[in-house]
Order: sequence, then structure tokens, then C-alpha cells
Amino acid sequence: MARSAAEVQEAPKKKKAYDEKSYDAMLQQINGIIDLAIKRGKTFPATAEELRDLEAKGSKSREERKIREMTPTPTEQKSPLVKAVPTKEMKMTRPAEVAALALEENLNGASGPSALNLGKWAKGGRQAYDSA
Amino acid sequence: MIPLDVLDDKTKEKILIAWRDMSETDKSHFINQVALALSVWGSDEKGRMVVIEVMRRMANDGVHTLADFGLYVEQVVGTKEAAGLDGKIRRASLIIEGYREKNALSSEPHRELGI
Repeated sequence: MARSAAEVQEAPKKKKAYDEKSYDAMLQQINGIIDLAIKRGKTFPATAEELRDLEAKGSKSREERKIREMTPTPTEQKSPLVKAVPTKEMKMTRPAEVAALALEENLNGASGPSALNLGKWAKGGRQAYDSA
Repeated sequence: MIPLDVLDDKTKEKILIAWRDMSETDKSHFINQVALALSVWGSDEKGRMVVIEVMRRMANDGVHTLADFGLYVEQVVGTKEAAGLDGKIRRASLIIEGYREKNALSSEPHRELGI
């Protein structure tokens, strides 16, 4: 049944009224969250000395993290793919072919559909290279 | 009540959903970090707007919990919202990092994985 002209006009008004209501509620809630933090700030047990202690702790933590980020992890130092490549005598030097060969070697003996597909892909890549 | 025109409705919704789903412990950590921040850079309207800007960045980055607040503080350095407060924001960031270290909070944000 077709809606009357009055109903058609009324619909957007209802939607707008709802949106404004939820918008106001959202504003109040977000402001409420920040107000909570401000109230907590007034009673928060952080004296100037405690703030300095936290600052020193933060500086130390940041420095340690930077050092950690700059230090290579054992995985980065001994990647099985990288290790496998130099042990094979081959004339291939392009990275894609080297990776394909290394994958083939590493997947030798592996099981499961993913490993199988990767192995096929690796063999296909190598055959394509050899026949080129 | 401060104006929140800088946040679109979707962002407001994300913030409220994150708040609703947070544990009481996480809520407490979030409030403590904001309290520390405001105590360093001021709790006037400008200071509150900086907090809103940090929350906007968190929501847009897809964080699950507002307790990651401290990890996003330094991102507002150099923005127009934080004009004139850069030094205080950097100090607040260090203080909050100390707070997070003290409470064994993560140094990586809890984000939704976009696969």
C-alpha cells in the first residue's frame, strides 16, 4: 500500500529526531568518560616526585625497546630459507628462482595440502626457469 | 560539555563500543592515563581536545581497548590540535610509558586484524 504524502514527510523527521537523540547521548557519554578522568586526576596519587619517577621509568623503557628493536632476533639471523640457498650448487641467481628452489628443499618431506601446493608451485617455477 | 565536532558519528560509536566492551581494569587504566596526561598538559578545553584527538586516532586505528591510550599520545605531537603543547605532550607520553611499564601493560596496541 502506498504511503500518504503526510507519512512520507513524517519519516525523515522521525529519523532526524532519533539521530539527534543518539548523537546527544553519544556526546554526553564521551564527555562523561573524560570527566571521569578529570575527577580521577584531582585525587590521583601522583605527586611531582611520582611523576618524575614515572618519567624516568618511561625513558628507560623506551631506550630498552629501541635497543631490542635494533637487535636482530634469532629467526632473522638464521632463516632456514637463507641457510638452504648457499648449500646448493646452482647457476640460478635471480631471487624468485632461488626462493623457489629453497622452498622445494624445505618442503621435501612435509605433508598437508598447503605444503603440497607450495611444493608443486616451487617445482613448477623451477621447471619453467630450467626450460627457459 | 566540550564540543566533539572533530569526531564523526562512526568514530564516536567506535569509542563507545570500545568503552562498553572494556574490563573494569582496562577502564581504570584508561582513566589513570588520561588523568596523568591532563595533569601534565592541562585539563582546560584545549587539553580535553587533545585527549579527544588521541581517542579519534585510536578509534580510526581499530583499537579494541581505550587502555592503549598512552601508545597513541605522541602521535598528536605537531598537530594543530596540540599546537603549543608539544613539549608537555612528549613529557606526558614518557610518564604514561612509565605507568604502563609499572603496570605491565602492552607496548603494542590491541588492534583488529584486517585480513
